[in-house]
Amino acid sequence: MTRIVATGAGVLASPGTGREAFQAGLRAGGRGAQRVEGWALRPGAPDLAFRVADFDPKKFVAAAAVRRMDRTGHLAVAAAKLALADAGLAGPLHRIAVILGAGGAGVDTTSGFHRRLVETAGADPNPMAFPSTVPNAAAGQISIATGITGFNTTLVQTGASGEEAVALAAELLEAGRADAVLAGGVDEISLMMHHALGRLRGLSRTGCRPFDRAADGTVLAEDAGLVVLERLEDARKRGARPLAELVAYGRASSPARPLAYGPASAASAAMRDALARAGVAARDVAWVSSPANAVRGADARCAAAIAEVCPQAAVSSIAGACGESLAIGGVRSAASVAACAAREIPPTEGLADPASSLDHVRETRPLRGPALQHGAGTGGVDVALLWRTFE
Amino acid sequence: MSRPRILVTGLGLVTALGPDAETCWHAVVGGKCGVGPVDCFDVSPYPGKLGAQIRFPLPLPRLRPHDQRRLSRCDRIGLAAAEEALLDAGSPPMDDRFGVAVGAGAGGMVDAEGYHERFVREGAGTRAPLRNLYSFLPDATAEWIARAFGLTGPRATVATACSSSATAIGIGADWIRSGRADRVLCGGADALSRVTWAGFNALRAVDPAPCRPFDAARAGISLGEGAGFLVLEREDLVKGRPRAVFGGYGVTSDAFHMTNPHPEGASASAAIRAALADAGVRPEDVDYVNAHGTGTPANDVAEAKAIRAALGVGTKACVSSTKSQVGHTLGAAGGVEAVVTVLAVERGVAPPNVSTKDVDPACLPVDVVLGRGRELAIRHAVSNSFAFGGNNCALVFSSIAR
Repeated sequence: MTRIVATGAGVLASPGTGREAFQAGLRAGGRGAQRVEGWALRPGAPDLAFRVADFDPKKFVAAAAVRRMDRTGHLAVAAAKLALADAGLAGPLHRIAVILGAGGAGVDTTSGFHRRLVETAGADPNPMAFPSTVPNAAAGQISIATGITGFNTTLVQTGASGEEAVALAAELLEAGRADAVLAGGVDEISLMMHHALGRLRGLSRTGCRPFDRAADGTVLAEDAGLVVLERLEDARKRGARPLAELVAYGRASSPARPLAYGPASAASAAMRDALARAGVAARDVAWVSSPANAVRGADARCAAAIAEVCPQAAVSSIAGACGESLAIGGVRSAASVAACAAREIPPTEGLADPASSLDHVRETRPLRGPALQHGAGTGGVDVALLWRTFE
Repeated sequence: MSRPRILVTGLGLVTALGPDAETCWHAVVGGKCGVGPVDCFDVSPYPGKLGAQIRFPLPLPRLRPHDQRRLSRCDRIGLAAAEEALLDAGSPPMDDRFGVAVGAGAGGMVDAEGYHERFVREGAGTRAPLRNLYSFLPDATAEWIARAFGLTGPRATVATACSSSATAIGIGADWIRSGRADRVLCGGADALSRVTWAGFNALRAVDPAPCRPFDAARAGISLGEGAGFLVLEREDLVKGRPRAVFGGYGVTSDAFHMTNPHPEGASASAAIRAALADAGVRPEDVDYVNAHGTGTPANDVAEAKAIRAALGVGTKACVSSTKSQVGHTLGAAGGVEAVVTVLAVERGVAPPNVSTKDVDPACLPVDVVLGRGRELAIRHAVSNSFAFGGNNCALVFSSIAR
């Protein structure tokens, strides 16, 4: 079996930019959500969002190119450059793949493009905006900004997009279609996505409190998270330092409607699939990194799956400090890699009164065993990634 | 490395030329053009007024009425082609060993636009019908297909614009090779939308006449809508009638420009070479290339260079673009053109370019098929799909009787 390791991670999320600053941010509980400004919200509507702090795209992108990208492109290119630097990876460029997950990537640009059509009766479409309406714009911009010419694709699966990308990356490495893969996810915030999540899932006015009895909805976030994955032999050959090992990935699908989750049994099936492929016993799982995001029904589903598969495991969700971006699975993957490298479980920020009897992590604690990362997509797709500290 | 052979055992195709693969194929080889006036929304503000619109009623999908109300036009086109492909494959067991890999482009955009127009006019407090929110999700079509037919194997929605469904086919085939699935339904669906219509017109990329791939006077694309799906099966499980061998695929990226192809087609050529290497096929044994062939000045000359670079300057392969007949179906194009390529391999006919009159000398000496289909024993065929972002995918299909 092909051993696959992560040799770098690039992340831009509310708690911090860059793997180590991000991990320190998680340890400190993040910076909290902020009020969004400039959005035409209906009176009294929730107005919180998690933004990437102090982000200057010009630090990562040539000034002329900055204008040709939307925010998703800026975040994705920055995360790619951070990940490549963290991994010390420079080439060969045609053997590096880029696999991005995108939940709603492009929605803000598409919404703006269509708004102008509505307001001008179709007469004045914006040619500059149109290329960024496609969900793969960010992956294309990464290729253009870095010169990477290998396999390049974008997967869309709402909350499982980031984990889907990492699973596909592992498949590409196993099949020899690339020697290194930048895999993860990116999503921006937009008034349209804010509106849609508000109608469909519920947004909180006070903050994101995953697993909490008082959870009253999630908080929208922008973020980008990418990990660099390689076959162990290749990483060794180029003298790279493995931060974590991706032992296995598992999937389960159920015939749910597009905006609905499958049953909790599908989530547990994905976790069991990953464990079986890894040859790891459920009782040995030390930590579950859960996608719980303070939407109550969805949190209960995540908790039920953990209770069924590995009730002894420590459990936390980074969404308390990061919010929900849909493709947050990229950031979650970066968090898993960082956690394995530092042997440290990040806590669930905002959790005061757990609604379940799981072993909830509320203060950073040591990681002493395999980490099981869950990504839950609507439409009935669950993905589980099994990571461990590289030995 | 020994790996299982993958056979194509089912085909489903819905385009402006017809509601099923057989009808479409006869129209394709007969030289029909599906590009004409468009009335599914107002195209009067734009220079390009022609497209390949589906004008026949779509069948009622196998979903409960509650679900049917939530379907976009794209979902309905996709469900029709998916059902045809599954029936064509002899309805093999539809279970958790059956994967679904779908390419998405504009997807449900034309339905989402209705919701979004109210969002623009009424503000964020709009109470527009929630059912139209489903159409915003590029993955909706894959979920409805999985739900309608009970396909609970691996699932993915690839969203790389015009190469989406070609890459979906490759990813689906890899699931069979790696043992994650026994069978995969793969391809894609897309529908005309105001956003893509306005966008390509704003980029001045639409030919006011039906598109003329590889013609010296070509002036851009014609947009279209449709769906194309394949059923792929591991060879030892096949009970039905195999149509062709899925050989392999390759995906690369230009690292050049968001909308313009690399002028030398360097990475496009690398994608074709990767696909041939994956399939174990020698470049000189390729007899037919179903080109990306959009009809834009930049694409066709770069693609001709890429084909020559990958297959050899002296290649005898016939080349044609199905887009001259069914338009550019964006997220569906790779699936639609894969179905046409499989039929070309199976029936021994190279499909034509229908509106092309004088082949651009810059695209020569590539042998462009003109007018009607040309009888040709096809051992191996390549289907190209390129996209915004500099995304390139090539698929290789081979004759069963090789």
